[in-house]
Amino acid sequence: MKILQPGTPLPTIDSTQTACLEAASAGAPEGTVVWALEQTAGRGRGDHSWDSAKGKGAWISFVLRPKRPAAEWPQLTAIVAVAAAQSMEELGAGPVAIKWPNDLIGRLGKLGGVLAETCGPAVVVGLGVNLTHAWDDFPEALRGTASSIALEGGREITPREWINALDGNFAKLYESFQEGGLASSGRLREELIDRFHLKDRDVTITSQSRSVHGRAVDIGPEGELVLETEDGPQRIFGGEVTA
Amino acid sequence: MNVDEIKKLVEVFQESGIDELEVNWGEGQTIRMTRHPAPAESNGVPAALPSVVQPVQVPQAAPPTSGSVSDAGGGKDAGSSPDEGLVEIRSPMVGTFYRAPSPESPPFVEAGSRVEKGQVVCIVEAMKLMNEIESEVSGTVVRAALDNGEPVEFSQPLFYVRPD
Repeated sequence: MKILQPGTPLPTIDSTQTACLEAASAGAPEGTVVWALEQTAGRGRGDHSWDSAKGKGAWISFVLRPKRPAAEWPQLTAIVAVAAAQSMEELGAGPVAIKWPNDLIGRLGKLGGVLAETCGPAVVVGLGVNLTHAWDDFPEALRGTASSIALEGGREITPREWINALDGNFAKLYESFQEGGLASSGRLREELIDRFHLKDRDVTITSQSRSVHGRAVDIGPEGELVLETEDGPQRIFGGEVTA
Repeated sequence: MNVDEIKKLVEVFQESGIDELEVNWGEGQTIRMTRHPAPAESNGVPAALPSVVQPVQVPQAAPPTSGSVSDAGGGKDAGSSPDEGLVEIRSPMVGTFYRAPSPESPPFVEAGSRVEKGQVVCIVEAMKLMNEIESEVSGTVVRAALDNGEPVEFSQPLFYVRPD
């Protein structure tokens, strides 16, 4: 089974996510991938712009048209993160953890991140991953915190090989999601607990004007973070995490 | 919050898959609903009935009977509800309510804003999925149901809009 259909990469693009959202609203089918060899305005949340040095990283955005109700769509970022972590490990990058809900963390630093946006009945998922960066390839500000699959000891691969590697794992998880079984069977939770970067850490969740403090103790069935707070356990679905 | 609104909330809660719902509004008033078997001996309701409504932190209201619906706010009766005829824009998912795309940006809409059907009125974010919520009707925004950054439950109202 195959979901992701990478066509020809664009030489450079402001943001694959913006282009993919436009494609989705124009009716692009599920699996359409927008990717570029170089991205000049990669988007993360807030100020977390993503660096994507030419050819060394893969920033891809793809269209999903989930059959499940919208209430289940937030699981998709977690599903992509799990698939990416599995693929990195298969490429030899060692254990890859997920910093809830969307960052991919290797032993030496951050390897990538996921975000998603709805576009009517479609969801556009963006995934940025460092493939072959050496330490010198990262800008000064990211040195010490960023890592790549190659730096973690994994194979050196091209962005196209990465998309194919990712799809091998993503298609299986997505099929299970579409059938409604990924969360209800407990499998999504298990996959996230296996890679629980924040486990037992004190964290703060901020959402513009509010913040919640607590200890990250568990992952819920829908992939949510469970915090032990002064007021008891709280299930966290949204917000920015600071550990 | 009036009786009709509380009834609606109970309906939403009963239809949803969530186990607990807490709603806060002005003057420190809160309603919390939890899903567990009601104690049959206390109210005669069959134990399997899932929903119990328990207003909490409400100074002026008498404690309601478990399994019943009560106007916790001591508000107006349904006939004089100021919300009559308003359309609720509800959240399709659990998440965090954002009135603006970023802390520095102005809100998508304010009370009194004119909205067209399909216009984005806010974002509900859950696990880094940004969900742009669109108005289902053309009309005028009466008010937001939540403060910026507040957690939101499935099907919880986000905005009240007076349709054309």
